[in-house]
Amino acid sequence: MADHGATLAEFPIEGERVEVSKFSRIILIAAIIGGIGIVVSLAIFLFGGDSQVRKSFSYSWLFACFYFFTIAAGGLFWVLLHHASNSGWGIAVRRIMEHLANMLPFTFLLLMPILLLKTPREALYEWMHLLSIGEVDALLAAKAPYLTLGFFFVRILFYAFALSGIAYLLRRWSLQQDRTGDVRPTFLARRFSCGFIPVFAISVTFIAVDLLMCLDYTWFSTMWGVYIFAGSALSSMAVIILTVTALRSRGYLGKVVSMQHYHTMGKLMFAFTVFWAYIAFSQLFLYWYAKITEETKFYILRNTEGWHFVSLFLVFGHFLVPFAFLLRQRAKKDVRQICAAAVWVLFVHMIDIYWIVMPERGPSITKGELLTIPGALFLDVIAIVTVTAAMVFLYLRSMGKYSIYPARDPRLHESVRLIN
Amino acid sequence: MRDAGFKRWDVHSPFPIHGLDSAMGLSKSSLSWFVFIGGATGTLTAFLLQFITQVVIYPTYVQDKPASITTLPAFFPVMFELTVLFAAFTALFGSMILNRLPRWNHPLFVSEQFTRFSDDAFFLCIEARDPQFSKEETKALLKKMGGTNIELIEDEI
Repeated sequence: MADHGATLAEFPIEGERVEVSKFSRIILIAAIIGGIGIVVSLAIFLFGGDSQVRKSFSYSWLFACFYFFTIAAGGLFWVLLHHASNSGWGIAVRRIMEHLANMLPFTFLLLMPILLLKTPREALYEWMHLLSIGEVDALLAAKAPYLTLGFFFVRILFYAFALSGIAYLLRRWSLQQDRTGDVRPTFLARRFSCGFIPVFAISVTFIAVDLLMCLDYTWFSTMWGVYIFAGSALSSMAVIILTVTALRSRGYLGKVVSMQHYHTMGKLMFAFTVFWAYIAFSQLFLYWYAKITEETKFYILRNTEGWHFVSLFLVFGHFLVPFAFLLRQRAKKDVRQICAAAVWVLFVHMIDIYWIVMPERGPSITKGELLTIPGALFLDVIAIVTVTAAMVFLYLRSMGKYSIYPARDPRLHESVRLIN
Repeated sequence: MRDAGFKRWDVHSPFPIHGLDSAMGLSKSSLSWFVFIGGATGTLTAFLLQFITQVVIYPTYVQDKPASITTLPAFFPVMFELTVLFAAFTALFGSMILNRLPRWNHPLFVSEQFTRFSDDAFFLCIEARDPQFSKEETKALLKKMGGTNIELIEDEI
């Protein structure tokens, strides 16, 4: 039966609290790995001197942090979209999105070492190095009003405060409703979300430009922000699906989330798989096929030697495989299949970010002598494991503080009885 | 009705009711398969149309690059468009064929009270073709289930 007949009386007014102790083993392991990793990483950053390891590790760190930034930003996107479109289906899972969005301040905190320390920063962003030694070429001179160190930091501060602030406010209102049962936070969140969406869009677009596109200041793409956003919304939906499943397997959300929610979330994941491919292809089509010398640079580098296979892998792994797999309705309604798809999506999104960041590393650090730096893969593994552990630790801990669904949202019942 | 084993019956309501299809015990429509085949046909048509004309029959050079299987991405936009077009047409015409549309008249239109189906009334219709149908017993069953205004509609032909 589609209608499992839940009534409002079945939902306690205080909602469900997650006992964090049920996840204590994962949290403990994550804390240990993350702690060791952060100590090692900080040691490399602080005492690395002018070594190649320190410079290479900056790229690894950017890759790992930006990966989690996209996921957290995607969480914020889903909350914003949910409020702005006044939708009812996802209220049962909205608190999870809110928790995910509130990982944003931590991702900015983790980004600090590579932005504040001079050597890592200049290893990543050549234009900063060129500015500091005063070798300004024509392309850099043309972009001078935008690419200055002062303005760069102002922008980063803006993104950090705007995005974290929005995430914080939306969860705050939602929690306020948990306590008072007042309907006003619902209206407040709806009204402000419409205004927050442009702020979010501008922040995500320009942080993608500043942190990833400017790894090579001579290249540009007008589709860059949308491309990053597409992967961001996709991977965060995968995280939401996995979180819901993890909580359900521990006995939470049982009455609140049904197969119908999985179906809806699966449809959104499917939609963003297609959207990512659409944007990725359009970018390739505009920049590679236009055959303008300075525009094709990005793709030439990524079609050289081994990177060519990574590019091809993205075509199949990031689009064709999940597309074909998620096309069937059954795949979206079966917990095991949808979770497998979500894990796969997270993996290929990681490869996507890796493919964006890493091809720049070898040519940048060795001044064009080497395509890749030998042994640097090991540093990448350290970075991604460290940041993953830190994020898992913080994310799971945030789960336990409040009810796991907005228990007194006026439309919770509508969401629980979702049928699509 | 579903539990009584009827097969050829339908319900009419002035607004869509979510979950009605599973309450009626309907299985998933086969339309999605038709749409998939239609879409795949579109992809293939577009690919062959471009590949045969630009590679096989009349080798074309665009910006000094010969069109070949490695320039496949250049064919994608047309492949995408035709996939959507063919899939959409299959969805439209497929659903019309599966619903046996268009038809000019339906026996139910004879009923005076049936005109209220788009206003404020809910109807349940059991066709005489159903193997379980019998004039008296079905009427009794409907009455037992709480039906009002039970009416026997006979086709004019």
